[in-house]
Amino acid sequence: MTRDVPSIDAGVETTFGASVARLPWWLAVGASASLVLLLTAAITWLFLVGVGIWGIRMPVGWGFAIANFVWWIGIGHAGTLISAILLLLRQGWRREINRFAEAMTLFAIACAGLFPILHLGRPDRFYWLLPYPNTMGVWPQWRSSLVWDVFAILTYATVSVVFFYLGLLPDLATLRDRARGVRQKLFGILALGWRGSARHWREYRTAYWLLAGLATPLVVSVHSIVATDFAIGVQPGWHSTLQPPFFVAGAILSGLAMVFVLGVPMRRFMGLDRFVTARHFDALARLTLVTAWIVGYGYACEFLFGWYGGEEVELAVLGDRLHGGRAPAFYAQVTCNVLLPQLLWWPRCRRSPLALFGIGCAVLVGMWIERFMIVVQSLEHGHLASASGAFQATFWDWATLAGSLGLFFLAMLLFVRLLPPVSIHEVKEQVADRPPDDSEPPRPVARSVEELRGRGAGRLLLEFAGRDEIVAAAKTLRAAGVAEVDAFTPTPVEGLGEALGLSPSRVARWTLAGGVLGLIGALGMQYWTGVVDYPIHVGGKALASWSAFVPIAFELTVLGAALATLVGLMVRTGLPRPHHPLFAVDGFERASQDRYFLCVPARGAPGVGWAHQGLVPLRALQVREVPG
Amino acid sequence: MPQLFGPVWNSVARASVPTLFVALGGALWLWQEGVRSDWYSGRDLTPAQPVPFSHEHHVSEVGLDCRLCHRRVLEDANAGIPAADVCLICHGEIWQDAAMLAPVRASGRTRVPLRWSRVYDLPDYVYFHHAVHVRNGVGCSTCHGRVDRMLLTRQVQALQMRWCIECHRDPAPHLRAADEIFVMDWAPPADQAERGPELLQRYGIRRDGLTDCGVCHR
Repeated sequence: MTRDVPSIDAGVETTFGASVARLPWWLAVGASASLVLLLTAAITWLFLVGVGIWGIRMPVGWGFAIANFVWWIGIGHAGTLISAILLLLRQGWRREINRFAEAMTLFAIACAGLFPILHLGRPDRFYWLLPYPNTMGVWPQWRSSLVWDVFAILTYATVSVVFFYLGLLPDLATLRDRARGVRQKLFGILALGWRGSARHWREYRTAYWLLAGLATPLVVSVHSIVATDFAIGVQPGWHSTLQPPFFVAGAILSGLAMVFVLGVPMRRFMGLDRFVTARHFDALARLTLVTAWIVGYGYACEFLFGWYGGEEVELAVLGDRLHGGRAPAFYAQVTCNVLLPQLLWWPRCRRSPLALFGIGCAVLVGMWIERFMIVVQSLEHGHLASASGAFQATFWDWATLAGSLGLFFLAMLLFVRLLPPVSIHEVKEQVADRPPDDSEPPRPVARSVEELRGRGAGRLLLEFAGRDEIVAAAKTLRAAGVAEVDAFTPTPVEGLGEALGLSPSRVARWTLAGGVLGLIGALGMQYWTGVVDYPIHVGGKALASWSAFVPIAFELTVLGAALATLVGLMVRTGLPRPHHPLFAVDGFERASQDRYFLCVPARGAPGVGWAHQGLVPLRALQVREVPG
Repeated sequence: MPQLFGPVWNSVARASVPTLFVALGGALWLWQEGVRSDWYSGRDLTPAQPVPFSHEHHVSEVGLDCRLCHRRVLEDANAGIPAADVCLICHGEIWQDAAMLAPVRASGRTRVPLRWSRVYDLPDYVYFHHAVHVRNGVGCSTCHGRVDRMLLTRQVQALQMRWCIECHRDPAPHLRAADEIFVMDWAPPADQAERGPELLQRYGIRRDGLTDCGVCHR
């Protein structure tokens, strides 16, 4: 199959715009929507009656809701791993899968965020978790890991949205330029007037890399903070420094499993096989195998720590896993998360979509059981005899879990129909340009440049067929001393910025400023509210517990830096700018698709006379006048 | 390719983000002002009562002491509302036929208590011991205002937690000597800055821990 720039747009468009596999899509939408209805019913009943409709009874106050929360937030992590960490590691194969993995992250965070709020009992007062000057005169308790959670998840959600949207921005411009009617208007609004200027691409790439750098520590930090919810408690099975890395490994394992569960059917039914190949599956499967081993190592450590510690209750918890009431769940968990992924040692298995789909489903189930065991099994075994009891899930527990799955899949299904599930501009970046075919002979000058200059044209737009041509032309113009040249391209073009003599990007300064502000703000906020304004003694801990201030300080640093990067990008590029004279030029819509443009002043530098040479040395296909 | 958006949309697009922030900030500000307003907190509210009892008449004009009706304010966790019998001590003799007092007489006869509407209603999750406050230098008017001037009993404080906290953090400016507790027109004397800490010591109030959660939420 030919892989060149013009084929990408059409290729991606057929995956989501055209009528590929409409019936499976509608069936999936029907199933997911039914589950969403169930979720709506479950939430309505919950709001009317209260959390008592769930199986939570003391001492098991954290039931399905918290297990589901931990499970969902973990699933999001693989998306960030693929989009951010693999970008920084320059793994080219991520381009085809990062978009839908990022979408998966967003929807997984949304599902995860639902559960703590439902669990509150007074969901209408969720904002009490945030620090704001309230009529009670109190502030959040900064030494509680539950408060760290709020900041970790808000930061993770915000950075993920920004990263997703930024990655989508050039694609939205492509869609705007290919669509018609209302869709074109909508994409036009969302694209913010992106026109692929070389100046913008330079800032954009820096901003995207900076955001990837900011998102990378989030892969580790978010689930580590979630793990401290447990590690800080003295419950048997929880109170261990193992938890943070163990949670992160499990998060990535479950996330990769979800990538298979989503990716395999999408590839099959949406014609994504031209983008997502056996190579992607192979690489992801290797990653899965590695994380499965880390998770298995974690299980072994739990037993080692419990046995070595020799504490009676810890041993009781472990015994319950091996030969007690929760033994079936435990063996299922080990089978799904550690044993089954061992099949991935075989290359045939790594390249078989069906096998990967099966393993993905098994791991998702296994990881959910693991989250359930961590949350519920530990709470069933308190240090006191009176703090022991069994958990029994109710219909509404299962309904809420199933409903959240429906919500997730419905969101994914809508996403793959409304937005490109593959990053158009990133895929284009690595494929060849298509030379203009014979039916379209090169037209060096559409109208004579002399005539255009004579009519007082301000700027001219030169169209090129490929990257090599535009870079060569830019170099020629620069050598000739023509100033104020800008380029408009569907992808960032290597060497074009230098050829145009663009100044380096300055977005990083915004990032630094935002990060520093976030850090100082977070430390100042925690110190002032917790030490100066309302000192509360908790468990003999110091009021200024700087070590306990670290998680929120870290999260707000990342949040501040990410938002400042976005603002910096907008300021440096002058976007949003939905109206621009260039948009009125016929054929400029191809600047976001398959053609490369240079915009030059018609008068050029005095005495150079490049225009007199008829532009033939520049190998331009066409020259057009830019109005205004 | 025709322009999708006219030139004016550039300004609209650029103004939209700050506008959104200003709108959001404005909404938050409105909300915060709202929950601090009398409308939300119930401050200045005069609930309807079965009998239009006037403190002004009984305290200022007749000159009754608070403790004549609220007998156990110095001992009980709840200040207490007097039973109809207490009213009938006098109103068995005077105004004994007044229509206005018919519910009081009915209550005294049937032993079914009057259903007064509570004016100072704290949430159930707050443990509040009324006598502890009265016996440790917090006078009636500090929380209840000039009851002696109220035709109908009115809530004069917002009863929001920050108000409790304010005094718990620094009680000294509000403390009175034991013989000034029931003085209705008490105002901090000029030397309250010296008297406050002295009273703090005399009552044996330890300030550390006075704002711990468990003091009020048990």
